[in-house]
Amino acid sequence: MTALRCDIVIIGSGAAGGVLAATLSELTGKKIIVLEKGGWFGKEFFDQREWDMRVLYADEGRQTTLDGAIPVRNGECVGGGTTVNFALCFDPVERVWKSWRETHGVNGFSFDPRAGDYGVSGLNMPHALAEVRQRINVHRASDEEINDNNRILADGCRATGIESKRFELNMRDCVRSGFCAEGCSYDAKQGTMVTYLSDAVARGVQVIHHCDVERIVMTKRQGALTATGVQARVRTSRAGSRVNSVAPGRLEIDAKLVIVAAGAVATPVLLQRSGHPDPYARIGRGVVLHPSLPIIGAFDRTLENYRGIPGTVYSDAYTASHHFYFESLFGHPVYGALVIPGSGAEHFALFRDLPKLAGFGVMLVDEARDRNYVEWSAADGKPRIHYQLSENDKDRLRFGAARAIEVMLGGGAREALIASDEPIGPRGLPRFRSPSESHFCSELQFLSHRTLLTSSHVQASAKMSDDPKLGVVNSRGESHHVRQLIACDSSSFPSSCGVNPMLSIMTMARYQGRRIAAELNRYGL
Amino acid sequence: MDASDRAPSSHDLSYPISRRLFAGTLPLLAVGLASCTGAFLDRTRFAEAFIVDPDWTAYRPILGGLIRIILPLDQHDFPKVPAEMIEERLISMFPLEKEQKFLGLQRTLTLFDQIDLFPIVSGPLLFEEEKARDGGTGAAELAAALQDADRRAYQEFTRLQPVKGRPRFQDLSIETQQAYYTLWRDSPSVVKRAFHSTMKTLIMTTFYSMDQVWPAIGYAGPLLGKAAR
Repeated sequence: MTALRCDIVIIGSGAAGGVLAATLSELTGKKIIVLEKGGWFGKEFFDQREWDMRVLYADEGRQTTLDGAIPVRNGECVGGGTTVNFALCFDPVERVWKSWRETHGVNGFSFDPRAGDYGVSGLNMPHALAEVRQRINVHRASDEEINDNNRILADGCRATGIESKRFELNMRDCVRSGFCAEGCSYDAKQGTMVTYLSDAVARGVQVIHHCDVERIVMTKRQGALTATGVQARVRTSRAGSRVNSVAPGRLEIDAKLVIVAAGAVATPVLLQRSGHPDPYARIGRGVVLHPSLPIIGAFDRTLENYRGIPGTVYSDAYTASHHFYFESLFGHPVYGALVIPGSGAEHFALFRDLPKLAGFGVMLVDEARDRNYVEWSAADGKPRIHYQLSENDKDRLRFGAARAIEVMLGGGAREALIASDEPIGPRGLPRFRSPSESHFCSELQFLSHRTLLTSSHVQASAKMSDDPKLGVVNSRGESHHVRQLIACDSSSFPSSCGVNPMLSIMTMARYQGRRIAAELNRYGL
Repeated sequence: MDASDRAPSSHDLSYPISRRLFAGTLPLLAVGLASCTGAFLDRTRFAEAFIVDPDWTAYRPILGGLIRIILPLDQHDFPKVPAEMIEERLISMFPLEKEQKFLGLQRTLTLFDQIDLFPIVSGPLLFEEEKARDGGTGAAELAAALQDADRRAYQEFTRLQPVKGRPRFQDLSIETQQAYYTLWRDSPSVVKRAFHSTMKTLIMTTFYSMDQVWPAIGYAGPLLGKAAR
């Protein structure tokens, strides 16, 4: 058994944990340990093979909703989601954060660049955002970085009279290999592994990977439940991972402050497993997934699709009215084979021409509903993600599917398809050759295992609110029920943050890191 | 790497019909048996499919049949990979016979093989169905609706492709196998649809992760030129 002692232990090394580790090591002289469930794989490990690189994902890429229908992708490696995502950056949406003030009693997070929240000079969202943007090199994709697949989305938007936009990306010297989701073999993607976490390590932060945190230790101190550390188990490192800083086996860490930043599946599950009080049944409740419906286009010409930057073009033309985005998306053969509807000869007739296919997703900003929740199952120790689309969300997706078909055909596709084998439209499978056929999308039922929805943006499962009846943690991220315990990651959002969440999470983490550093005496540090 | 870590890359059955769960459904199953003595024999066979673990070799022909209907191996321009090689690879990627978490899939394979059991909606299936629906329709209502729909679909299926006695999936022609597999896709049962999509996931993942099939679909593969792990 290994026993360690530190001032601050951070559970998770992704968009939140990586930034917190760097910020706290930069601004305080405290001893900090970061625990990561996955391995620490450098660029030398990323071999650009979908099957091999499944090990970078939670449950090796097989995490799904309880009914098995929606694959829920979470990065589970050093860097978390920032190691395996498409580097798509949206600034935090001021309108959403301000609405949380009214709807969920979330305070602080000022968008006034002159504000000093909690009396801390310079503590505000624009300042935190500017720092993060600079560190991870957020910049707009240039004209020559747009591949055919993205250009088709832009063309289709233009043809149907809606605006398309250019993504901002956190990359540096991208070589446009197209292997973002397999981990960047060139260290071009500026995820936390190559930015914030490496800064933290340079300042002496210890990283322990392959580490299963079993529970947060909570003890009564002066009559109040207080987090005093964690109990964990370090697994034997997977071949190809960097060397670990402790030996495999039991690990106990005494810490003065415990910060949970394990992501919106693992954070609520860890709180539940640790016996965190939950008098108002809030932990895990109201989770959102950003379900995405893949749209496929079949073209008569060869396209650059799986090479080049996967995401450079999107459209938010329907975001205000119908809560969805069109976001360019393409994958490699395994992903492609699963997205193409049907099987046998019909499937191969489409898939044999992989270089003539295009793809984008209809990404829904779904409603936060209490009937959707994450829970820990004592039976097998795994998370259960209970999730059903609301009727309103289904309506939005039906509308989105119809507009998406028109956009794909407007972009020049001979045929546009939905990743579904529901019997919609005139051709058995949902295959459309004319925009006039798009109305058939109103018949989509989103039957589980017949229509494929995917999720990469789990959020809002351990919500912030200054009202303990509404949230698990307060606006500082502090547990309402356990002292010296902070949660800060995408689970903290009261509802969807409204966009691909990475930059919203990193900005929040930078903000909270600055705040904690300025309020150390609040935690006896 | 720990062998138990290997798993499908996408949506698989996350609610295995395991032994432990089956034990929990015994009372429900007993009610089902008592109230429907006419179909007693079929129901017993149905229940058996959830209890008995035949030797792994018994599953192989079913798996082989599914591979042949999900991948058009006989088509002249389809990548030339022997079905047996795909089967071996699938089992090495997804050790169906070794791991507890695949037990549900194994059980469903046995059930899938006995095609005359398709219209029967009995205790263990209902139990899994309710779980998959996550607090939707009640058990009795669900049983009636599922049974009604699956029975009608099965009648139509047997009208078009008459089958005699107690046929096995593995003995049908490829065309009839395809029509039968489609019944599972079109069923209102989430458990049956899940089996349909899981088999597609396992077989497509196995096949399209092989370097040698990529030229046939115009995929150039990794830029780095490293061998697969």
